[in-house]
Amino acid sequence: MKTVIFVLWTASALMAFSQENPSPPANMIIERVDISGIDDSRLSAELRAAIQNLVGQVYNAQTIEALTQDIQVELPEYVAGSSTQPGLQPDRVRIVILVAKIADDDALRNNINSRYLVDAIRFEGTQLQISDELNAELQKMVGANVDSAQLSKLGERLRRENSSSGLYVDWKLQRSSEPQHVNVVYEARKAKDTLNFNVLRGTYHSRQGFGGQIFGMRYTHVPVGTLSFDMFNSADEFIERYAGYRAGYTLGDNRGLSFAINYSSFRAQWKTNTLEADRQALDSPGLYRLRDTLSGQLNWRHALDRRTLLGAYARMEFNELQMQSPTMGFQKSNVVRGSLDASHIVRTDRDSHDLKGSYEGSTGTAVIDSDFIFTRHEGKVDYSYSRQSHLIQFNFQAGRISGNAPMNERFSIGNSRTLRGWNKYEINPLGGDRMLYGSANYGYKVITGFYDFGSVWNASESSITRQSAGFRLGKTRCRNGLALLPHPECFSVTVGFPIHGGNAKPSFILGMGF
Amino acid sequence: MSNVSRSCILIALIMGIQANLFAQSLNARTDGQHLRVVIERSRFLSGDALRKLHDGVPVVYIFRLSAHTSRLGSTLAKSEYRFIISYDIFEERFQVSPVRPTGRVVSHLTATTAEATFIEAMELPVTSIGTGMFWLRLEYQAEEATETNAPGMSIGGLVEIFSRTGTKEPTRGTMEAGPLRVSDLPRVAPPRGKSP
Repeated sequence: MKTVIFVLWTASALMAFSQENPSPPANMIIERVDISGIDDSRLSAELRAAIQNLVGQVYNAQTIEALTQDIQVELPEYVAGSSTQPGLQPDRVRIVILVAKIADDDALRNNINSRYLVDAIRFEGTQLQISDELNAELQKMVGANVDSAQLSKLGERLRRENSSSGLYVDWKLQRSSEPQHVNVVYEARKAKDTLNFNVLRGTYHSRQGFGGQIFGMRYTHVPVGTLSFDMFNSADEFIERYAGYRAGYTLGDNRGLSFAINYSSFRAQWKTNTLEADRQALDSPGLYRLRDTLSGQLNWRHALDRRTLLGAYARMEFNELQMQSPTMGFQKSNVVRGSLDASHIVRTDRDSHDLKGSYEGSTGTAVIDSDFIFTRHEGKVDYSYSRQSHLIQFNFQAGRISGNAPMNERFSIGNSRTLRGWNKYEINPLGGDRMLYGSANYGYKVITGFYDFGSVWNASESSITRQSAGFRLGKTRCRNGLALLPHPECFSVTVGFPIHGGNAKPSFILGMGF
Repeated sequence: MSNVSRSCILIALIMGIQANLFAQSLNARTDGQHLRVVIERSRFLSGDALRKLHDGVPVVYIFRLSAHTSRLGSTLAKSEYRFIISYDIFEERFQVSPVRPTGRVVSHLTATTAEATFIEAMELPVTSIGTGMFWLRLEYQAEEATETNAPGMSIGGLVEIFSRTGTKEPTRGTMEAGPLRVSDLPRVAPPRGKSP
């Protein structure tokens, strides 16, 4: 039950009061003791008696300090301090015990040490470079009460100003030589290099087989960047099944600006449906056996406010395709790609809204010596709302290609994530240059029902919209972390049924690690 | 070093880990229409979080209490609690400030009484659990309190959510108990004048 009485003494006032009243000289006799801030009837009879017993005794700071601590033990929502005032006679003093309620002061709620004053700012560990502006901000804290939020903000600014050195900056408090005064110590230390491995993250689709990452390795060398190596065998994203590796290095971390360079080499395999469609289609872009890619990518991330994150990248890709149709030989698919994305998250005690949107545009032109001349646009919007055990989710994506794009740029739906229940090789075995897709999901605890609809078609054809429905068993969010194997919570089973699919059979999808 | 010595060290290490795992035991009792937890030898204030606290830095403790149909079964009931803990570097006492749900701030606590304050605050509605067997799970994690005054989440946290690259490895743990049945749990009568 909440206490009705509110005493609006702040800790800083309490401290200032103590400062104005230095300790009296020795052998002073206590003339009177007053308690301020609470009705003394709230204290136990024993404690009241002990306080009043001070009257007539020689002043002793330790005894009074012990009594203020006893008050705090009896009234845990309060802080207590003492002050001395001159008595009516020269060798007499008056003691005032001040009691303040913690719950009325946000700073004290968050850190009990907010009632103490900062004497000095010190630095330990690795030497820091500090701008004049930041130094002025740091000096402003001297003489003020401890402010944890401000200390953390300035610590983050110190880290950012020294980001090229890859430092972590933590703060801590140390007792000063004066009672109830503290020193703030900023401790800078070099971040540790990390090495992480993971295996088997992906999906098993009853009609398309396994798709995902076989093995992954990340070595982060602070502060320079991250070396990565991944092996894939997947038929999920593209029409082709691709198997091979990707190695890369990223300079910088993913807060702010970073640059990544990657090389990948994948062997492509095609389903019979695709091989047959390629033989019959006059406008097929052709199939390849090998796809080697060298890319450079500039990434940018910026938190617009506490809930909104913006991101963008610009990438240059040099693809070499070893073609198997329509003729044998090598072709280049060099692409310039750019993307913008935004995320807005609002989370409260009861519910959360997540809204994400992205646009990616890419082009293959003769200017960068590409044999495939095309322009590609793709947009995505995802919204989810969750409240307690309920989840509502909507996803929408649309895409358009003009020109002659290679197979790995063409759109396809009907896999483990889109139009679940349909098999992409039966819908459009060569993919399409137009795509529209939407999905609505309702989840309760570990079961989620979904309704998917979408179409992939070529500009020269009319589109056919297909629908599917089904359910997924598994957690909507799981803690995969940096573990070697997927967390048991991150396994899921999905069953999708094509609607008006004729002889189309349902698909079973086992999710591992997402 | 002989094989015997190596074996002894290995056994001691395993025993130490086992002892640590079983040092904290989770149990439950009913208090009117609420299920409350009972934890013997709780040690939430420990490790890196305790070191931070001793340095005067506030730490947020997040507790998730849930009841499940079986050990890996679906959730019957769950609740989440957040506390900001700080440690008075002069008085060497803890303060517990419940922020979700907001509650009464209690200060001048020893480590044991601070931990008892967390435990006392946690509860689940008995009606959601029902009369069948269930498993009880308590997950907790501690992280440095940053910008706790403002609602929502911090920019750093937002970036980490999207990038999945947390630099701070929080102190965390999980305790489980079961199978349990509400009717078998010890009951505590509600205080006089307090409706169940």
